[in-house]
Amino acid sequence: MVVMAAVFSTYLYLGRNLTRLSFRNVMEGQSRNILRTLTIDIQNTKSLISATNTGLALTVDNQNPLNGPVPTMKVVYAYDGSTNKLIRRTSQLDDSGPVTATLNHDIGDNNVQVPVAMLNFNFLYYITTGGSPVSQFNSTIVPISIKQVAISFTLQAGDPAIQGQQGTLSSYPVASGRMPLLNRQFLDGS
Amino acid sequence: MAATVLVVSFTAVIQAVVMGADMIDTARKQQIAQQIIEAEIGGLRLGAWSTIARLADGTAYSATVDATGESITDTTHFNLGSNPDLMRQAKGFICQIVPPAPATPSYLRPASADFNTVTFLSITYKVSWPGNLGRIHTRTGVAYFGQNGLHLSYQK
Repeated sequence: MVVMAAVFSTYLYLGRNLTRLSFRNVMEGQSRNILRTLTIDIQNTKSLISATNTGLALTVDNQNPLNGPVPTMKVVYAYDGSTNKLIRRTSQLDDSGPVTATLNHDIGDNNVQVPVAMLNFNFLYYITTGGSPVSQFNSTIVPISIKQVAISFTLQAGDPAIQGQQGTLSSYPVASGRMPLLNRQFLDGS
Repeated sequence: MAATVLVVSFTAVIQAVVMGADMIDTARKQQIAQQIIEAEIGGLRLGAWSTIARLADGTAYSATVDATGESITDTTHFNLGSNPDLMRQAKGFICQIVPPAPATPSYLRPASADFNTVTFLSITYKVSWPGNLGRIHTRTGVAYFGQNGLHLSYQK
């Protein structure tokens, strides 16, 4: 009886850890994809339209119609705390023709769905004052003064409300380095 | 016999979990180390030329993130403290500015440049951290800076 209990608990322990391992693999992939997508947009940014702790709107150079309107598109990142999803929307500069993509997506098929939630999300902005790097994280954010952007978020796979394999929770905190706005245009006075 | 089979199979599964966790841990911390290097280089690009030139004077600087990820030992020469979220991911990481070998000066131009006259230099960052299984990993990145280069445009 004792041996069977030990065998069973070991089996459960291994099963849950294998599940967590697979979840972490998925979250690693999704987090890298989010960082890659944002980095490319930041590198091609012509100007910042608005910037908050959980949202960012950019005017982005784009030469590939598959990525959105050419030659310039509007890209909006918005974190939805009610659904725990990060949304990226591309459109024309006047907001027409929007295409929305969810950057952290659930995994599984029609039979088994494992939620991948973004528990929190923050943009971090850097400006310069007298040559010294300054973070504007906790003060008023002025888009025109932003020189670099960083992000942080936490992904979580699984759902405690679901019994079985999906009930195993695994969270994955992510933080980026500084992404410089390389393609900013000179001010035109407008 | 059955017990032996169970022990062997469970041991194999445990090894698979440990190895898999180590692989993911290594990939994740490699990414964090690279982001630290990029963050340090990015921080310098927002700084004054005199600050950059002083960092490349051949002195070895080192900073360690504490076990809680809340503080770093040197906030004068490293910018990681300005990105607290990244620092929390880097518990126990050591970030270093590595002085060059004597034959390869970090002041690259002009020849025999000093702190006041240098116009082009390199700075080498090395980040090291203990892996999941206790092994020490390192990642190195080299950044080049020109006196009237990219960093100046970011000071507007």
